[in-house]
Amino acid sequence: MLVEEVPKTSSSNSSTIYFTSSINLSARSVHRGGATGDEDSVGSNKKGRAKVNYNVNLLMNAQTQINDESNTGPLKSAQQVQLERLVSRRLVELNKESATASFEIPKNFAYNSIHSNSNKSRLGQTPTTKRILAARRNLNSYFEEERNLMSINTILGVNFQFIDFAEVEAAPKIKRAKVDKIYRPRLRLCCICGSQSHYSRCSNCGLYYCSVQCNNIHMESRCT
Amino acid sequence: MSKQHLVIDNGAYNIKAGFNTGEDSDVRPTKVQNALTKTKDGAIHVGNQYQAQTNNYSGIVFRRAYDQGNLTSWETEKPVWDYTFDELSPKKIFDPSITHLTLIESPFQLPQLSTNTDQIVFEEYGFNEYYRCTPASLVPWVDFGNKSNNDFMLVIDSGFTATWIVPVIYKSVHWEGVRKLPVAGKVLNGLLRELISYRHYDITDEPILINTIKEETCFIAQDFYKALNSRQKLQCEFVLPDFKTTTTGYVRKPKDTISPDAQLLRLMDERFSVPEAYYHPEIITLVQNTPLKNLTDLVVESIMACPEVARPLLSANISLVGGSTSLPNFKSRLLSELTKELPSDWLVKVVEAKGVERDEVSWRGGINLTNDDVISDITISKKEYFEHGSNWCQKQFGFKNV
Repeated sequence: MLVEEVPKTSSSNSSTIYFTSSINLSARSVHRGGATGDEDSVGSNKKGRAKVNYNVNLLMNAQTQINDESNTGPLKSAQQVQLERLVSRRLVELNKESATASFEIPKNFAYNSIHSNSNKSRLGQTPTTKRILAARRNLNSYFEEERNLMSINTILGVNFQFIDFAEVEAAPKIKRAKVDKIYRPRLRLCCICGSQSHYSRCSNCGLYYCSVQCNNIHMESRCT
Repeated sequence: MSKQHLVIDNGAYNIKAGFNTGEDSDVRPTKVQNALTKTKDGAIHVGNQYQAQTNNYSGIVFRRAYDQGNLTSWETEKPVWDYTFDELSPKKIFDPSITHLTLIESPFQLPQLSTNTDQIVFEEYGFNEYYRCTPASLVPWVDFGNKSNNDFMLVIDSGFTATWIVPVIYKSVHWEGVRKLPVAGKVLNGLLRELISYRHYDITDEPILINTIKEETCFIAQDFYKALNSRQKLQCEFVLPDFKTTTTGYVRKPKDTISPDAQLLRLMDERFSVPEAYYHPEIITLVQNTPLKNLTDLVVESIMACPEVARPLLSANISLVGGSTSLPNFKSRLLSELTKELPSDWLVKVVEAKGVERDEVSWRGGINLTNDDVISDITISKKEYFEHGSNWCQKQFGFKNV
């Protein structure tokens, strides 16, 4: 039998694993081992052939997101992908040093060393450095050109990390000593005065407020 | 002429550069603002040139070679380097062909961009010998006194673009344990800019002023909720620059008399809410329930990614590097947060190098490295570069995929 169904009880997370197969050994499960506990089933079966678990969800994800460079980690829901996009956009916004966009270097601009007598400074000694110095490219174009997807995944994967939703949800069920993440209350600050917000948030834009007064100010000025 | 050793820490905010001058160990690096700047009158300045006139400070625009921590724009970086070399040797022409360069770049650079750097170093400048590494890997070379174990170090490097947590074991980076928190100087500036521009005056076009306000007034609260409740007591007044009596602005002391038309910023919770982003990164996002991991989570994760025997050693040898770690209380808050999270029988300690500024630690390490014999084994010479090519160079110096 080349493809066999995994018995429901074999592993704790088997709800997402449906079939195993001993053919097509080049197909690897996409996610890192350990997290869903399928490492033990990757081993070899009685005939000594390696057995591959097909996790349908993961395969689906791998197919739909194969061209998406931002897909770095194990399995990401659409929500999480959207959240990541929001966070990175916000980070870019905060990382701007001033509101006005940065300027372009004028074509005739050159720095003259205090030692050099000539006014002309050549741009680039060799063809390669000439190309680098005249590149005027942004980061994204470099990312698109990079062939080694492994490096991209490593670089982007380290960018920022979320506390795993599943981990937090599962926490109360498991004994506390076993959980390596303890649920940390989020900090909620009023978007108007900065004090702690015990209230719910604006139904329109999702920002927190601390009092009716602050909410009124918020509705008048900041709410988009 | 004899060989000289140059160490450059090419930070996103400023370049720390200096020659190895031999015995005297208290020589400081030259610091150059790593940017081109355009002032109000439309003139473009390189590096520190804009500081010649203080009325340049208002309405200045920075153009940096770094984009999200990656060195993308060499057309910006090259003039700044040229300027730096002039600052380093004002008397005689700087000659790269007799110079050994140790270059410090941030971890996880895009390989292609690192290759570009190598090509510029060898082909454009023609340095004779070259070694490139991350800031963290040089930290163990700094003398932390005899109470520290330099074989196991956990480096927390909070600079301008990002905070890196890097375990360094036997003087080499343990790449599996490297973590990054996207909160650092620049993000704090952005948050402060938004808060002040909303509550007080519009300062969105004053990057230098924002930076000054942050450096002068911000601190990390030991207990955030307590500080929030007593924020009236913690308030301070910042006198904004009027370009007659002050060009940068300053914190008003209780007895200072100020001119009646001076503009004041009364800062309360801004002072500690902004740096709180290290421990509650969710406040940087507008929708405040993004479960971003905070500094403590990442430090613990980083330690746990290392071999088991090394873990307690790492927690007992934490070193803080980078300009943003100079925020008041950074150390004490980090210690108290970490002791809560780590096993109680582990020692949690921050080691400090005497007489070395936090943002100069890596540079100092680089100087010490060039004094050691091992430098000749890890260096790449110009001849080797032209023989093997730039890809080989990247293989020697680059990060390892995990």
